[in-house]
Amino acid sequence: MLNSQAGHFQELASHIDAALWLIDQSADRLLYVSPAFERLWGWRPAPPDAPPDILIHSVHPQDRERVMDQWHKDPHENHVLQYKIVKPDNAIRWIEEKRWVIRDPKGIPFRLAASARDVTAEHDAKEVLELTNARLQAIVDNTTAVIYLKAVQGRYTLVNRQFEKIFGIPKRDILGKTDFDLFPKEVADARCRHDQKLLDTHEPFDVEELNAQADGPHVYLSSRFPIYDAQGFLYGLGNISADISGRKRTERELQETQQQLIQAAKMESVGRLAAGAAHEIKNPLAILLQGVDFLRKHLHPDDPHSGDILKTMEDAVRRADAVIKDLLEFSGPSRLIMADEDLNALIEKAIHLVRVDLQRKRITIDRELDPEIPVVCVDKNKIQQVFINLLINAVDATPEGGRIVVRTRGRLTPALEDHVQAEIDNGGETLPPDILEHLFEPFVTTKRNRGGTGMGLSIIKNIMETHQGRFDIGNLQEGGVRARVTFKRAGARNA
Amino acid sequence: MEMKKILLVDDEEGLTRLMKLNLEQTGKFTVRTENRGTHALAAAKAFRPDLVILDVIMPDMEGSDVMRQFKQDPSLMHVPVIFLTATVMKGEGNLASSGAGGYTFVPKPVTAAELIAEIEQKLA
Repeated sequence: MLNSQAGHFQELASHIDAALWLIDQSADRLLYVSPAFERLWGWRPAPPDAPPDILIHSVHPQDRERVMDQWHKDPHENHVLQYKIVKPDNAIRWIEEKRWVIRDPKGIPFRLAASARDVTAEHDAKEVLELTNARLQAIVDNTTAVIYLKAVQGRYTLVNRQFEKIFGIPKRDILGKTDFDLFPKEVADARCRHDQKLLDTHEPFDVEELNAQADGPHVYLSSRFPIYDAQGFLYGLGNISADISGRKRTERELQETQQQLIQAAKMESVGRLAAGAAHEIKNPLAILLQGVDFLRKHLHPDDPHSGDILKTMEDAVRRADAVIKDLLEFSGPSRLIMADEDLNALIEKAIHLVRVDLQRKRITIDRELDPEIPVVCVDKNKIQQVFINLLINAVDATPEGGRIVVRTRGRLTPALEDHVQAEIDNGGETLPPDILEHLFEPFVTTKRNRGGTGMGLSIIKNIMETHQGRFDIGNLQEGGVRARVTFKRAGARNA
Repeated sequence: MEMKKILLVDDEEGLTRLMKLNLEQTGKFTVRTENRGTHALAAAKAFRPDLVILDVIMPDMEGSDVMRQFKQDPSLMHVPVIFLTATVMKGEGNLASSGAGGYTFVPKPVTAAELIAEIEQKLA
């Protein structure tokens, strides 16, 4: 019976690919080595005389110590280990060896069985894969592009170093997470929409994305693409994003510079025209004024009209002169002398300068000045001119005994947190829509008959534009008109 | 009081005529007018003015060049000059007059009273 079982075993052992051997532990002898051993090792020890450690001679010198340790560390435990062997023809093969303990009916170990198979192909494939992965990781980590892969369910499966850097999250906290675990909901929603588009269409596409970073918002051009497995099924979503903020900024600056150049060229030609016109107009005006002066000295005492007529003529000359002056101011080169200024102080000074007009119409000024308003970097004289013009306009529009509200504000909405504003609300009537629409065009005025040249608001707009600020005018619901100037606070300019 | 002699040089004939009338009717000034910049030097040498009023921009010769000629003539170099200008604005005129050289710029249009005030200040 036993003999027949041993026969079956040997028959089986000689036909399987794995090498098998048996060790008698008490005698420290090899009891059996299967024929497959020779196929794997290129030689075969001859039991029963060979000691089991004879096998170590084939183990690669690099692995020998590790393998010996493992064999002798705990001879009564099952174990699995991999090592290299050197065949007689010097070929190197990877072997996976399993050892297990065979016990007698009392449970006492008395033999060791071992099986071994050639795992060189698996090992090589694993090595190639590791090398490929390392190469890929090196490439994706050493680019300024933001690269990531997600599973179709939206979980991150790969992120590069740039991703970790710009979001400030270490890789281990990203992998396996979704956008909703990592970002605020609105950001995650936007990113998910792009994922969904990819899942729906399976088509690669490019998209511009805005990303809030520590140093401000950045614009990215992202290429989203599907990843397919060997069977052609979509199993991942890929993304490569390039930071194009610099390019965008350059484009914008170029556009702005071009606009400024065009505007400057326009203003220069208008300026030259205005200077020429001024010269040609001021001479006749000078003659008229001298003529009026002469005639005034020769008035007949009984003439009831000529005095009035001469006064009207003199006013007309003055008005024409004012137009020319404004035209020169509007079109002249404006070199700004910039310094950090307190807007409240500039407004107080302007109020002081128009106090005679205020008193004449008994108009009260209500001040709502923000005491903590940040300083602004402006040309003091130009901005004073802005406030004087706005106050004079407000005085003209406000009825006798009325009120003008002057307001400054430093703490604005988040979108305008770098800005400060000043507002002047008059107590007059609202402006008709056709006037509102053309307000900033030269020569539009509601007070032509009261000496207005229609240049004031164009000049203000011009001054505000040269300060990179804004100038708005609008009707108030409760009546009256609000003029508002908005500045970037000092230090925020060009940021 | 001795009448002061004023040479008025401006290419605008209408202006010089009226200014002459306005200045002379005060009884304080004798005015000679000249409408060509190139003739100003000869006119000044002949007239020996106490003060010259010079237009800045004239077609044949600029006011500044006329003044340069005066400065090279020992008999004229100390004669005070008031510039009449059709391009300088009020604020800038004051600015220019306060600068080095002490030249006074009077912007056109100017009233007779304003001009007389400038002249009297200059002659004081």
